[in-house]
Amino acid sequence: MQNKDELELIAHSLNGDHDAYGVLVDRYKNAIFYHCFAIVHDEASAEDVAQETFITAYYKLHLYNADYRLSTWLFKIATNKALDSLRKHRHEIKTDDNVFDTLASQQPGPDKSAHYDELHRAVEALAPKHRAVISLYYWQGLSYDEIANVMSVPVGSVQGWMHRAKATLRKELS
Amino acid sequence: MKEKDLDGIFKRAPITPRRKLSAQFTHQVIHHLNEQPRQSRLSYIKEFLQMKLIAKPAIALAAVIACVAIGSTSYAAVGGWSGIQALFGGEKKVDNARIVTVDTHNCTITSALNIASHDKKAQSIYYYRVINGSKLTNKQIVQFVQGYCEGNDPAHSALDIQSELNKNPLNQGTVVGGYIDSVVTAISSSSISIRSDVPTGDTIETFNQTFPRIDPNVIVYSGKQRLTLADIHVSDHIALSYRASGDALAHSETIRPDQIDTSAQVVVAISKNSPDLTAAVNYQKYNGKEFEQVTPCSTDASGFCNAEQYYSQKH
Repeated sequence: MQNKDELELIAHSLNGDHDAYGVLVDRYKNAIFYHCFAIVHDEASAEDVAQETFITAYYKLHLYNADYRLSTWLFKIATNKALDSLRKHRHEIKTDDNVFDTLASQQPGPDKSAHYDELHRAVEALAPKHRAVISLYYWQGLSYDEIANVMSVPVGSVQGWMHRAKATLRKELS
Repeated sequence: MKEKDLDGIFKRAPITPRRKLSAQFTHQVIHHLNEQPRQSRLSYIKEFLQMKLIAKPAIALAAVIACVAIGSTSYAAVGGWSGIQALFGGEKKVDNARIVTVDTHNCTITSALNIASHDKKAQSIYYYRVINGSKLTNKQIVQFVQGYCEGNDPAHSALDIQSELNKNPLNQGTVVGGYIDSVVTAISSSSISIRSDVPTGDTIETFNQTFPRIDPNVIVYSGKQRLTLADIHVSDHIALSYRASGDALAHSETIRPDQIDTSAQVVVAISKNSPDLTAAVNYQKYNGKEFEQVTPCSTDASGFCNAEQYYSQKH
């Protein structure tokens, strides 16, 4: 359930108040951008997908069910668009090795950077929908129920994907 | 590596982009919305909500302003749907316009001002200001409301169609709705041709499309009644859904019908529209021009204010 402030912003947005919608965009843009990046692994593509997400959400806002968190609904749109983007551009996206250098430099301890580097390479090798599940669960803090809603699949499928993703990672990292 | 280790590492080490979002990100989103406001986009049946029948706080019937009924005429929209009924409730002359009252029964409103509610009101009253010189009749205004209520009813077949489509994994995230009200110009067991008169800005553009691929398990409804493809005929008014690919999927929000490669799309559902819903779509082009929804107020000399503005300010 949404808080009153957010419901008011949504109501104003539905009435065509773009400033109100801008507040919502500001509130969620980074989370959506990070999630998109976790799936598409390219900053420019992630930003494009995030932008498309907010544009689509605006046009579909009247269909949003306020019984659920707005962020969950936005992640649903973003996940679909990111996966679509991957399907559309799968031949164009190339691995950028530099990303791992940067990622490693952001980690808490130098002694662990190689380990994180290795982990992130392994994550990138996962199926896109498995990456989406990991991003939503670990980095965006969604529950399995919420992820099932986002991915439009039963909770059992989410659990299965998570199990397979972890199994793949364990194998890659062993 | 143990599972517990993976959990810990993931939580401590999210994959993050190397740079922040563009500082212009929000501005770019809003700029796009300014360029393509909701009114100009193509829509599917549930997007009938765009017509914005504004739900208002409950008003006791006794408090309703007196309207002068024209003779004993009583208009009821044709059709009927899940007990939904819109009735002519009277007319009052004001400066340069007339106020038409419409009484509704069992009309579901998803208010633009109260999005959390999907109320099915046993009885609600709506007022419309129709400018002098307009050829719109009171009967047409009543039909507009009836069509709106039908289009937004939770029992509408759009929900059944959506539920059935979701059962097919091929449809996950790939089904796109065509225009809300198209006319069938040709049909066979394998293809369908339609004409859509789509409001785009201040004009209405006509698009002719032929979809040469129809899913063998195409879902067909009329109201709550399940039909078959053989029940759809030339001149029927329909809204179709197709399993999209290419730009039709990637840009489903804004793409024009004449930019869709229909040969690559597969028709998966057809919803036959009621006469009221079709009429309401047609009358929509007058909304905001020849008529508008109003509500009783004390701040306007006529005693009526634009409903959307009034409730926006009140809330």
